[in-house]
Amino acid sequence: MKMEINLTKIIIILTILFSALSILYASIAGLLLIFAIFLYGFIGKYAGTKNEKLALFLGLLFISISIILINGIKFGIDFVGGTRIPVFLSNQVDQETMYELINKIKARASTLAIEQVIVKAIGNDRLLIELPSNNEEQIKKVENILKAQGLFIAVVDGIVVLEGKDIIPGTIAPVPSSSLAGADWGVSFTITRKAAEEFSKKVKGKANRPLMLFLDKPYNATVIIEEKWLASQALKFQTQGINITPAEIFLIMEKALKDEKGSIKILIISENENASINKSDHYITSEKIAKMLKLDNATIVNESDLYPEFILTQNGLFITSWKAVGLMSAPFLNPSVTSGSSISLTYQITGNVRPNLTLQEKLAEAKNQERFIISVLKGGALPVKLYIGNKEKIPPYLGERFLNYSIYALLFSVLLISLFVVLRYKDKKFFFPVILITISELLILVAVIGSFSIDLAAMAGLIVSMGVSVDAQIIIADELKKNKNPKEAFKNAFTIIRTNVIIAVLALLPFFLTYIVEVIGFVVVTLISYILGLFISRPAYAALIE
Amino acid sequence: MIDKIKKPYILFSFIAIMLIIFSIYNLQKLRLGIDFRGGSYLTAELNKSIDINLLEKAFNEIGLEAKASLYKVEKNYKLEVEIAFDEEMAYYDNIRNEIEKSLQQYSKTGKEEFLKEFYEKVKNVRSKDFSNLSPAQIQEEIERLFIQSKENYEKKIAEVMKSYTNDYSIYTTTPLLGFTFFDKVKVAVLIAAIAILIAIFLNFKNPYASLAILIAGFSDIIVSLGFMSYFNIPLSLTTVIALLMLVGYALDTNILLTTKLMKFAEKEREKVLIETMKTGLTMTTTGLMAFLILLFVGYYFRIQTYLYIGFAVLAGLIADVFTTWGINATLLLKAKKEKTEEKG
Repeated sequence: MKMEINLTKIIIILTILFSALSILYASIAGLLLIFAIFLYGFIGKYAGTKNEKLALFLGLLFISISIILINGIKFGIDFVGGTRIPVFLSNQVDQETMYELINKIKARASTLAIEQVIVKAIGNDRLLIELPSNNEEQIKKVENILKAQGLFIAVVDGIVVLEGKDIIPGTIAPVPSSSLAGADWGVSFTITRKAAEEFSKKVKGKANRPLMLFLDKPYNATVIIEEKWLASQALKFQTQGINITPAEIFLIMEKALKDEKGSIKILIISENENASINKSDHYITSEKIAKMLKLDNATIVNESDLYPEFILTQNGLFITSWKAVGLMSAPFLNPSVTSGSSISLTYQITGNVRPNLTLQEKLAEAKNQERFIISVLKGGALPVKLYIGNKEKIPPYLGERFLNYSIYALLFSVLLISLFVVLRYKDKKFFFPVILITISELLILVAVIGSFSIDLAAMAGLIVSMGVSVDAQIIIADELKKNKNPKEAFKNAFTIIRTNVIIAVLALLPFFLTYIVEVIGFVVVTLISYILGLFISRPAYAALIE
Repeated sequence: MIDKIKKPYILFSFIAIMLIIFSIYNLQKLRLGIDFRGGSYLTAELNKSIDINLLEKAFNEIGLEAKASLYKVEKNYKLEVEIAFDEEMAYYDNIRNEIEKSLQQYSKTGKEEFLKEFYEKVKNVRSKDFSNLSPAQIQEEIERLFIQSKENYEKKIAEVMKSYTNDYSIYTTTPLLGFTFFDKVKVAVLIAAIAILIAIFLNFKNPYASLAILIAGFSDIIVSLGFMSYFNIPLSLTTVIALLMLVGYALDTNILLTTKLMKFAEKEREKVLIETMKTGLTMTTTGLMAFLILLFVGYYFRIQTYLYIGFAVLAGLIADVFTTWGINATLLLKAKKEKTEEKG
């Protein structure tokens, strides 16, 4: 007896918890609700009394209604209008790359303040981008994100030894930890034979020189830095026991920016000096300096990215990175590749993370650096080249019309089927619970799918879900009417229902493995409605009718 | 009413067989949708009626096969055109995929033979000379050619549409992506079929009953496909999912019937059959209503997703009434009889 009271209390507490979480973390409310359905279904195995079974059902209903009322329902652009941009990838990519690509596009869209952009993968060489707007300016912004593809070059002592186009697409990959030989992380890539021959010639005798990896090196630009920074750097090195003047540091920096294709100038300013600024030049500097010099259209970078980072080795002082000019990293050339005696097609860039980290931090840091180098080699921003297809625009009025029709269809479907059930059973002991439960189930489904996005396919699923969900209840009702022994009737009914659900789930589940997103909404709605039915609403119906 | 017909399952079997014959006859006309064979699907809203034959002819004249339909939706007309792929774009689409495969294999294995294979594949690309380019450059060049052919294709379409409207939306699937989709869907359907087969067999542990269910389920799909071809509805992503939904839904009544007859009913088989039939028909009716509404809304307001799902499932569900309560019932009654005879 005591145990039973506790279960109902637990359900109430869980329900409040899930509702609160769904509202606090609205972005994952749909997942939370799906999790709740499974959890409640699991608890349902231990629910004995009528009240407990009903509590489970009402609990889910409560969470769903709070989600619908407070978070609201999200509709896809089919219903609210907007623009759909198909994007072709230059080559097929694996799951991980696709994921990375989608996240990068989303991240860049959010930094450009373009809201609610949906990026979906279709197959493994296409994307579908949806934005709930027909505003030309917004669309242009999204297109610009997609067009940006970085240009990668590697420079040794002012000579361009490798370019992005030399790397064979799809060959850039992390080095497995078993073959790292002491390094913490590594990235390997394969270059074309012709490029390999050139590379071998160009790096001959350059052992332990830095291989400067540039991404979108801004040739002909001018970096404006402060004089006092140079002085402070020199001072810093002196405290470490290295005798170096600000002028020498400047020379190292200037040299790093020069290669056979062109160079980047450095302009040093001091606080009380008027710099000679030519408005038409391309300047890169910090916000503070730009304000001081009244530069309106300079490229603004963070103070920390404006200046290079150095590393001191036994061979001297080198720059390891300088974000403002696109110098992403500068690993040293291993003597094994600079002998010029043999030509290798596959290369590795390896590195170590800072010492005195915990093992976990070490692994995370290594993974980060590895990913960073991979993205640099791939041309930075996006891992593949993208081609924009023909845009499809859905005017808001059309979307609204679709939505209205669909809601009418949904209501009509509920009404018609309810009417049919009433006429078929006549006894309100049978039909009342059917209608009540089916409508509640529809609300739960709307809450789940509406937390993601209701598109045309999902809406189709919702419209027919009522017809599907009453079926199991019809089986229970008819068994009860026929069989004098209610216990046996329930047992028989549940045997049939369970088999039905298993078959339906098996029929639809393989479609999740295809990653074809266009129809996934429909599959999800149907699957959840079956699972919800088996775990929660059938037992609740049985409890009500008992 | 059903009680009054003496052996309804015999009549039902007859109707089911007729439906199946009709469907098999029509099956050859089944066409693949844009999703699976590549091409473009164009929609536009027009404020006046147009001659779609002229539109189709205009497309044909520039070498594009097209199929147009026009519907009145409220005050406007909705134009839908399915346009086949042009040969040039299909060609480059194929090449770009082929060379990608070789390069991927080369980068994975490092074997020179794949690089050779790559050069072999690009040797005869439309009399272009790639001999002094690196693989990456060749790939880029072919990519450019592909995009160019795609732009040409879209330009051709725009040229034809210019005289009707400039405000249209177009959805293009490259043939290769279409094939990829089709392959994936085939695998998914195969896995689903095997999983269902195993589940049914494990559940009933009776090959005869399992076979009866499978025959009924399979017939439903055949009839649905047959009616789709008759009404010129293509097999597309949407309709494949609808068919799987149909399988799940149609098998409900089959499982109900089989469970009742094989597991629970020991005697008065025909009476149990009639009782179960009432339950089953009630179930199917609710389904029919839901899908009918979907079909109706889809047809009336030209929402293609609704129309196709509604149609495919509805056709199959109607067939299911006859296959379940005809074919399956007859087979099961026979099976049960044999079993009782064995016992006696």
